[in-house]
Amino acid sequence: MVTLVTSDNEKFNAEKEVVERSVLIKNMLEDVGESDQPIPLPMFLEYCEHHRGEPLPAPDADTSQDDTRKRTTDISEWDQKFITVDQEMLFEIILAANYLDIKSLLDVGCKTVANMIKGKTPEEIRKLFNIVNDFTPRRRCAQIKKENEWAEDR
Amino acid sequence: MSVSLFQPHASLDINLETILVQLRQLPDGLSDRQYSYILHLIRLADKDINEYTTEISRLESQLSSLKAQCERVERQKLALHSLLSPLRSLPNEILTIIFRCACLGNNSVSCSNPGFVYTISAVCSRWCHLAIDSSELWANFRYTFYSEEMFRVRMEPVLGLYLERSKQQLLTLDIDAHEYWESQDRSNPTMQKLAEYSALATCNLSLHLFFRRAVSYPAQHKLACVGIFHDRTSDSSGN
Repeated sequence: MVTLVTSDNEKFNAEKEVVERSVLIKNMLEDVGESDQPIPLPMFLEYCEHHRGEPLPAPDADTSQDDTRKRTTDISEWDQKFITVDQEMLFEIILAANYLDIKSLLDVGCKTVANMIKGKTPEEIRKLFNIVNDFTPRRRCAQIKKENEWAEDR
Repeated sequence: MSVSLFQPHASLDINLETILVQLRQLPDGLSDRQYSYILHLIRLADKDINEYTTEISRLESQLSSLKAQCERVERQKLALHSLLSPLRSLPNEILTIIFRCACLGNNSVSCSNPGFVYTISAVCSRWCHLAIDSSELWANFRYTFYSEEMFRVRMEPVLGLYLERSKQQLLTLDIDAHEYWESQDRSNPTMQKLAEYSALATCNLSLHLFFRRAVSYPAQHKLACVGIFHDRTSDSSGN
């Protein structure tokens, strides 16, 4: 068993096999290092618990395996349910997955955001994520002109 | 702040019902005095209407100025909210992965749609820079070739933009030119454009061409291709 302590001093016990889905924690356990980076630990444990036993990507399998994994934006039903959270939590999960080096979870997060923006117009994407159109007025004029050009033939 | 109700100077006060009653009666002719009194009332009404119109314009301009101020504050609020947007916490490399996922299977380009990567680059300046810097996003697209004129006017600039932004990436293009190939016996301008580009850059090209019969491309031999794949399933000649 491994005890994980969050930044607000909450303790979680989990099996080594479960938490080692995070390459970062696996390395930490091996090197007995420390980090004070806050992470959404209960969700991370739930995810790793569910995917316990599944093969981990090889450390040097960045290119070919990643390419295969990223060729589709399909997300399994359980993962989809797991990742149905508000935007703030979704981005926290993505950041945590990136920090903890859990490729499969990072993948699920990125695919979820990708599915959210697919088929939307720039304005709809801005509204969805609270993004401001910060292009210079000159660039904005050029953009509107271009968009109108495209719209003419629709 | 007290709001005083606008009052016109003439402040014409006539009972409309009295006039209507008079109108319903048989016409019995108006005396000169009555006639000039009515004219006087009409002049007063004109004066009142003018003053009301001026006041309405003043209020409308005040209103539009207030609306403009309100919109400015709304834009400022939106910009402040944007600073707090959780999306901003994502580093560039993760955003790029998201863009890559979003463009998967979403790479159709047409005369009315410059492609999803173009949509991404139009969201904000950060997304624009990231999209332009991610050459792989521009290296994979599909389109249907309809006519030479349409290509010259619409598709050539788009194709040029994609070729330029894909930099040295391996290009994967799916070009459906069924109708064109079957009606024309000459080189497709797409191929000429690719040949021009290929001559300028070290172009790794994986080209999927869809047509129903065997054709030859005058420009094809100039292309430095990794491979050209024909759609054999619909090749009626069996070649």
